[in-house]
Amino acid sequence: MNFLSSSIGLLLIGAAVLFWIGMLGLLWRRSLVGMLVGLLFAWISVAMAAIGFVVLQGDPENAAAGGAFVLCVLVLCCLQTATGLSIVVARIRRRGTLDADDADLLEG
Amino acid sequence: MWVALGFGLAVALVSAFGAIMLGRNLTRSLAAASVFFAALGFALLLVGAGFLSLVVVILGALTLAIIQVFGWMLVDVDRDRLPPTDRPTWLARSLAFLLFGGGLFLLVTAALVTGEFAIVGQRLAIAGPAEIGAFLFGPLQGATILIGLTIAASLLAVLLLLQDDGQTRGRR
Repeated sequence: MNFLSSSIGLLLIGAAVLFWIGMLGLLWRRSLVGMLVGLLFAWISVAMAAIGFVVLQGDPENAAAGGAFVLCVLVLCCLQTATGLSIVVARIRRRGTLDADDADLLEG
Repeated sequence: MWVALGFGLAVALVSAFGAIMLGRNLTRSLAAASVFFAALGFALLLVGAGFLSLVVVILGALTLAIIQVFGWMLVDVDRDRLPPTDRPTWLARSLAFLLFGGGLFLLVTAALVTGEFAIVGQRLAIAGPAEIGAFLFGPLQGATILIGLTIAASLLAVLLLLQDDGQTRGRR
């Protein structure tokens, strides 16, 4: 296995570990902000994996598509964070808590 | 260079883990996340991601800035002061994480054994901003319009959600 293949393998393994860390934050943290930070890491791990596969494939025709995919993923990550945090702010103003365990009713 | 890549990735993953573990204090958590993005950008540059590593770092920093700005709006966010999780829930979550981590480990191991990561292309092909822009506004035009509409809808949702907050503050 030469340098290129092993480095991409390392990047993809790192992406898998980062996704696990993101899930750790999303499911373990009870603070809604902490959960959003965990979700951010999960998004970034997807971008990491996409970059790894683009480099691994080495196909110039698909390189722009891979780059565009990474860009879209990261833009959606930003939007998700902004919307999620505004929901958190609205919830704190009304309920006065960050605790995700208190949000157990699907009320309107 | 391989060692530098491993070091960069290790620093990034440890920082990400620290950002999650330091979650009770938002400022510390975001500082660790900033270190994560710096180390990740370094690792991606070493892999040959070029322009995309810059995109990841810039948009990651932007997301952290959004979290920090919203954090300043929250009440006493530096300490969430939540009660500890009860024991059965803690045990159930631990088991779920072990299973999830085991599944990911098996997936990566299977990919390594079958040699999925050893397929090497003819050359490194990372598109620059001009190629990506031409692709986004060319063949992917429909998706770009959809992304633009999503941005507009998200900003509108944020404004509507925070509108009530501003009115409440004004009355105080």
